[in-house]
Amino acid sequence: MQCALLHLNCKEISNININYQLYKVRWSGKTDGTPFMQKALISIFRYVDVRVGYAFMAVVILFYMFFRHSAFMAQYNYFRKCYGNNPLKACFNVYLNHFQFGQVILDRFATYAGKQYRFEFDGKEVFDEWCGQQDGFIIAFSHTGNYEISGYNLKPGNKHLSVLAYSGETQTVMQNRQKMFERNNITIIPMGEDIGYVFLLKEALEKGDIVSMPADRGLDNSRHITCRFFGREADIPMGPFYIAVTMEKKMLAVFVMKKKWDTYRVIMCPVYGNDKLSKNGNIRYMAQAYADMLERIVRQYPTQWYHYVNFWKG
Amino acid sequence: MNKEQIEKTINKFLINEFEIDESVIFSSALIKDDLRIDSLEAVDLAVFINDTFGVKLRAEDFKQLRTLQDIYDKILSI
Repeated sequence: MQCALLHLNCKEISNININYQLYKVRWSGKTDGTPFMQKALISIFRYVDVRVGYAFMAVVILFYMFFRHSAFMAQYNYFRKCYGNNPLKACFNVYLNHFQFGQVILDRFATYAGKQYRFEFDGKEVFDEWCGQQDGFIIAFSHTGNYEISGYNLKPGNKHLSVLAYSGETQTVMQNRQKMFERNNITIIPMGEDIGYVFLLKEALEKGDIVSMPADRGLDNSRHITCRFFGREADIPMGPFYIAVTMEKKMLAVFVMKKKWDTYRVIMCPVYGNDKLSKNGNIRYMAQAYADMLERIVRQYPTQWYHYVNFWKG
Repeated sequence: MNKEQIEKTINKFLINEFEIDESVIFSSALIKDDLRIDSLEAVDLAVFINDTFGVKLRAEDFKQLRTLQDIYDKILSI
């Protein structure tokens, strides 16, 4: 994939406002299911093909669609407004989206059970080159496809990878994540309300390590930047871009999209800043460059957009 | 650098970078409640202190700092 360097003019930059508002809690950051159910899934996938789980999911997902009204409406509006789908097509695409999200969750548990997936890399030479350098860098990921599963297969060379993750997951998920990540020199930094986790990220970057952060959704009380996304205004968390600019670190956007039942496509693109701009201008520039990249990927994989709350403002 | 110079440098940074009103910058001002410095700005401030004074602040250090005076004292003590 061609990763074109995005050039925004000053007028566009000035139209993107930094938003300092506090946001009410909208998402728990937690995988559904009790610890018992999650452990049972892992045990089942030791003996049963994950496609059996997909077939079961194809039916179960209908109940989710009916009983999770706000999630349904968020996706329905996304297909109606971003792609101009008619109501019937939008409903069908919401079903496909829920089904694919279910597959992604099952793939995660199948990985915990020992299943190996195939990965096709796009732009990995940048990742390998940056891993070979002394300087640390930031990986920006989003809630599309299945970023987590790439972490079990990415080999960051001699560098250590710290992944910033929501701390609300069950012990089963966190323990299995940690077990999988340890094999590849990866640790999880739980995202919290106090400043401790931001300093851990800073210290990791200072050591020359890689820090991986969600760049499309932050904690609800974190600062945001309003960017243009699918032609409308949406809030992007400021944190990753603020840290990149303040600490003068490079940023790599990584998207892990499901291609076939056993294959994922890993797309890696550098997110460039513009040193000619002021610090705040540069932060906005990077955030908009990332939003544009995300939009291009989401347009290629429209049913792999896993935001079940309204992403746009207004 | 002496105490006055440290105070002046830190205060100037807070005014210019975080756009904090000069009237709320006094030595007993609470970092979180009066100056409203959040986690990202805390990192920014820590990077500035490291670059300017060669003082490395860790998360544990920063959690113990309550007022602006604590920041001045921390820099002076190292």
